[in-house]
Amino acid sequence: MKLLEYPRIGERCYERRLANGMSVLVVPKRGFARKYAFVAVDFGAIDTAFRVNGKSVRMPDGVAHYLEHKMFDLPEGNADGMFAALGASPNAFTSYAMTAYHFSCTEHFAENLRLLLRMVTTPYFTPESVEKERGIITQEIRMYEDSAEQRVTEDLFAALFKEHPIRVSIAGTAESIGQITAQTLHDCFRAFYQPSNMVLCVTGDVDAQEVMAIAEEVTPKETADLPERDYGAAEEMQPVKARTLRRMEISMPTFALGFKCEPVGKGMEAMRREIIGDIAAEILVGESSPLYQRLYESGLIDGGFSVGYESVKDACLVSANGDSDDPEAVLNAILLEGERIAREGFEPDLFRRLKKSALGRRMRDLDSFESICYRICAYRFDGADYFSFPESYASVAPEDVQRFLTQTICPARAALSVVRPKK
Amino acid sequence: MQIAFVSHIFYRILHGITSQNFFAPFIFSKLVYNGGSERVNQMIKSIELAPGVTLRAMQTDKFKTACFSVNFLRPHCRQTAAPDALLPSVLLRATERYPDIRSISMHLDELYGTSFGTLVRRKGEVKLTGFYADFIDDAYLPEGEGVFAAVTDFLREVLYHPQTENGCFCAKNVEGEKQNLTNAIESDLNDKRAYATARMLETMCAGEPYGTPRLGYAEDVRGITPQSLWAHYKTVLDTSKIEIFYAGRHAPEEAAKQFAKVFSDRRGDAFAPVQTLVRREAAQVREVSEAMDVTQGKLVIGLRTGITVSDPDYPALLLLNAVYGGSVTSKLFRNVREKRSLCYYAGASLEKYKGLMLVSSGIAFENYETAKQAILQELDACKNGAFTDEEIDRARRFVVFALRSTMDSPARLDEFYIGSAVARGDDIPELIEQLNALTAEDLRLAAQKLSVDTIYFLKGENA
Repeated sequence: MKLLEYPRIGERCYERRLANGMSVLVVPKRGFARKYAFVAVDFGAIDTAFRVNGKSVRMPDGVAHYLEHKMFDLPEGNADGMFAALGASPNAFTSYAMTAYHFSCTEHFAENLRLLLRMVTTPYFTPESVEKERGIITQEIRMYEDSAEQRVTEDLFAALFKEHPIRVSIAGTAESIGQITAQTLHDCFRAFYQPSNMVLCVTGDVDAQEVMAIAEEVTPKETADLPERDYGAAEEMQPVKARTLRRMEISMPTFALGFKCEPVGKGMEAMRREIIGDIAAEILVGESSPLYQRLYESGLIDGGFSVGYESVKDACLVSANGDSDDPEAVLNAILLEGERIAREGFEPDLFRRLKKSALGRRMRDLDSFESICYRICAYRFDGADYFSFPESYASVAPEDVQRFLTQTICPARAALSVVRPKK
Repeated sequence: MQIAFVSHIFYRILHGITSQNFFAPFIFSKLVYNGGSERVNQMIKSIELAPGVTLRAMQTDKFKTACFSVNFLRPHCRQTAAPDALLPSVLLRATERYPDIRSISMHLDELYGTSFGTLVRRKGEVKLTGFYADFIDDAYLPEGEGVFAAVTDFLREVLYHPQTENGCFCAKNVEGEKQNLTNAIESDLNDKRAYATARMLETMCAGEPYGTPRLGYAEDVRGITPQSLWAHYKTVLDTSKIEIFYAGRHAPEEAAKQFAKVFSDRRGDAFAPVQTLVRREAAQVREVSEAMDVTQGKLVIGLRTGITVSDPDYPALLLLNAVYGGSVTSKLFRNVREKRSLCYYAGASLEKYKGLMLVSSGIAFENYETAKQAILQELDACKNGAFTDEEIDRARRFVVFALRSTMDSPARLDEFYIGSAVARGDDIPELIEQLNALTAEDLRLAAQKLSVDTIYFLKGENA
């Protein structure tokens, strides 16, 4: 067990890689009543096409999410009830890039951790239980279909990307999940739920030694080779479609716009790019930018507007979303501002302040157990060490941001997705 | 933009809503036990700063974040709901020293990314309007630097030095924020679950102040002028009780010194207490439906609980809610979702100040009768005292866990302590003690007091 110290942010982290390849990390937090454990599997909604033993496989859309629902089934019953009996509050989520299972509790931590680890390493799917879940997940999909916020983002991804599976919604469709059987779930489990493809991260007032011992004891001894993933051919920077429009029962038009960016390598370079992308987005149209003020004062955007940089494996983009009576005008204003910055640059003081602000916010984020565990795991799958973010910030210069903005914010890379009211 | 997550359980049912409702009021100046045996240095102290201005300060060194909220307590009603909601946004749009949103934003960047936002909360028929600030604790800044004092200075600037023209708010700021508020009110429609809940409450509490939505009505926003809002601003400043919550490393006395500077010009001495009208029983069951172009139906049932946070049987109601629909082991989750696959979410939550319970579920249109019957059947089971020991035990652990976890989150602490300013109730250790002593009979008696008031269904156009 290694102890890593991060004096700049007042954190420490115990780390160990088990013989089966699973990484275990413990971030001690003294004085907190709550203990939180998080198991992340490097398997998300985008992992539907892959190669195992030289054979290409294509799974139905939404399979990672379906599997997540069914992992709560154990031969002795549903894990929800067992967690509840131990006073824990469990949940799980599926994102584009990962599936995660987590609980928090104030009592019986060791037993709960055993249960969590047993659950994520025990496949138990019967045709009846898989069938029964279909009704629940269908209603879940219907709920998302009625959400304009979700639809507008999904439409944007589908407009921007031609090959990358981020263009498909996380939960899939009622039709695609109709093809999922117990066998499908078994196949995905065997391919991706290997200890070497998982990270366990624990936060709270816990004994790191005990966590490591439990993980070693409960998880399987063996691990198998991981499949080779296929996210399709390399993307061109041109979107598939520059505009999408949908009508729904909403009160005012809502939009998501995006600019495609080059994929970035793994490791600390990925973290650096994210910081560059975030600062660039803030300089372009963040709350402290001249453009934000103009758009806000003219009523083209409101307080719900947000902008940022996102990346899911090789799919990278700068995106903004909000409500507006004239989304087209917002996009045009952003393009003009991008042009101006490419020509004239930006105030060095704005860069300094934004960096200071972003660092302060990241520091405050360290109070959230959920955020710590999620980020540690997400960065780890990208080969980066989350807690070293202050060093990454220090390494970003104004020129990096200028270069990124000049390259990215242009009409050829832009797409605009709009959902308008029916009437 | 947040890259989407899709969760195992509808998160808001279990966490978002419970965080507002599970956390009952507290008594002041008491050491809090943290997770059992360990005594943690986390003490809440209540200090009177100025006439009608109370600070509840918790000194703690657990967090990297310090925070405070400043709340003006107002009666929630149709006449003032819209101006109450508009006022903080106009104040935070421009001040004398920071004349536009960009200069405000740049100032907050300079304070290490301090978040400073408006707050419009409703607890029963008490409207709390004001500001919430969240900033890095001074202990994590370079030697000699601090942001707490700067953030309270900014609070004073926002509250007492707004940008003015001709002796009142600038017309362009008022107009801009009126538009934003109107959009916010109308965009309720975008989230169908929130919309269905709001419509149900409007129907259920028609004729009561609670029937007015939190932000008021768009048509009432239209009539507001810079002059009328200015008059409202003066009334709010001079006649409202003010409640402040602070959590951070500074000692309560030290925090009090800072906040006292903000309110040094506070005038007046008569601050009327604000109260909530509680209807303990439904007169009759109303059933209403509305059609819209949606793919999923939203069923929301409103019940009168007959019990509020200040009543002795409140712990029984809290536990009953968890057994019935407030957790993953609840009757609704197990029977309506897991056994019958009727929905993705089916849950119950409490409004503990007004004495309401809301049951909410997203279902296929054709399952309306089946789902409604299933939900009411589980309610009957509660009224008949059909609880297993296992059900009660699991729900009890869930509620106790939620109460203990409150101490680990500055935002939840704020909800909790500000709630205690609105209506008196028991503190966390006492609540836990009472929860542990409850029997199935206590739950049955609490369930007997529940009465169904309104059943609302949002259905498809062709359903």
